Amino acid sequence: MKLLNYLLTGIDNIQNGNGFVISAIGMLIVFLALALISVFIALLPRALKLASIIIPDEASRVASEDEQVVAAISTAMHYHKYVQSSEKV
Amino acid sequence: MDLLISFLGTTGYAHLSIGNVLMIVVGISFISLAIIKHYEPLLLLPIGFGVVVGNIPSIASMPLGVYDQGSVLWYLYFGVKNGIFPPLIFLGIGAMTDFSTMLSNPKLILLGAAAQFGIFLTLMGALAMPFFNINEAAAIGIIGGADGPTSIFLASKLAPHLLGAIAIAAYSYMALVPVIQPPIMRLLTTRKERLIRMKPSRVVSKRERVIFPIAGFLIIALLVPGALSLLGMLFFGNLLKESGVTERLAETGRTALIDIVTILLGFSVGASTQAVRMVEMNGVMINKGFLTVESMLIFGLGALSFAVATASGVLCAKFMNLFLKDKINPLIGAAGVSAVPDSARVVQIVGQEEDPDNFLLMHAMAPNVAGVIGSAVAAGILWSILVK
Repeated sequence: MKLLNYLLTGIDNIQNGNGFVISAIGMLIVFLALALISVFIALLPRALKLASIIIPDEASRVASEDEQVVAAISTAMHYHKYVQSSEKV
Repeated sequence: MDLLISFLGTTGYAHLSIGNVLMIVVGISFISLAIIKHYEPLLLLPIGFGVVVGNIPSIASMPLGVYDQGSVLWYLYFGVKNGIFPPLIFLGIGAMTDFSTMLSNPKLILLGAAAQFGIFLTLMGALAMPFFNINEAAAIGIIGGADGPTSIFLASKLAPHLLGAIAIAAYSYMALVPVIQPPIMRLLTTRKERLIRMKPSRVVSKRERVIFPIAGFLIIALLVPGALSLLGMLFFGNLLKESGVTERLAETGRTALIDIVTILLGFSVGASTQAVRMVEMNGVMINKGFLTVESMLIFGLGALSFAVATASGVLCAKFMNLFLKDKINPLIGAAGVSAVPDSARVVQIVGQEEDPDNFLLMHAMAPNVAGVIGSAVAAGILWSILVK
């Protein structure tokens, strides 16, 4: 009987402090916020695929610039070694 | 001779109470756990030493403790009391967090949301007791978020007088993640479920990683402005990291800045746990120190909060499996509590007990970082609703 009274008082306390409402709203908004992020992340790759048609991916552009730099360095090194070997001869 | 006697009367030995001795033992236990057991040493050691420092009795006429205006510790504690340190820690966390695993498997974010159930259930549990009002109950509930800075932030806003107990409880349970979580995880899952292997994550492009902190911040901050200071700093730190053009700033955020703030926060929180602190309220002297019935209840409720959060994450994963073609290993639901990366590590360990070739760590990091966002959102909601 004492336990039941204690339980009922506890429920009253929660109700008086708006505990049920705050918890329900809180949990709902946490789920909503993270669900929105989840949906956004799920759609992001598709949106980027569409966007890449209009604006080319920076990464691929950088890669092509890198390739040019690597080609230039390789040519320079090859030329340098060629000159060195010619001098030895 | 009178001078000597007068000096002896001012020593700590003359004023040391049993409560102080008890708290000094607690502080030394924290230091021992950090050094011997390696339980969250970066946090427990500064807190532990702070507890020892805070429980040396000070002289009434000299400003020494964190509550004595003008003392050195009072200035250090200013950052805790006004919620300045937690957002700075979030900046550092953002600068060291890789959201790729979360971006590669967005459905796992829901596990980070489910684990926040512990916060709200504990809020109701605390409110059911005759000791706490709604603000105090909310500040206690946030311990279930398993996020020390978030707990401190919300406690400083809603129940500053409980800050010490809440911070110590939050960090203690974060350190005890490897002890608290595994039994609950095993209890709620079958062996077959623990053996589930998950598909490898897809590669996430740099564009996605750069866009996410900006878009993620906008989505959440517009919905819950109360989470702005915590999540603003988290996403800002992450943008510094992912942009690739501010590596120096990101490096400072994830090393020097977070280290300095952790030292100041840990030490001053520890120093705020004076065993007995009599404060006059409405003409009556009330003990607002650490050794009170309320503090003990906060520790009990904190453990409950942590256990419920772990269970909620695991049960949510099991529920999601009812609808998913590619099953989730329900163990990773336990990582929805935001103790990064400890709870993800626990998932890996428990999973490998069943199958040593099953690597769950990267999968568990997704709900883990989602949990950081989730607990900050929960704190923002509670602050928004309860602020006066």
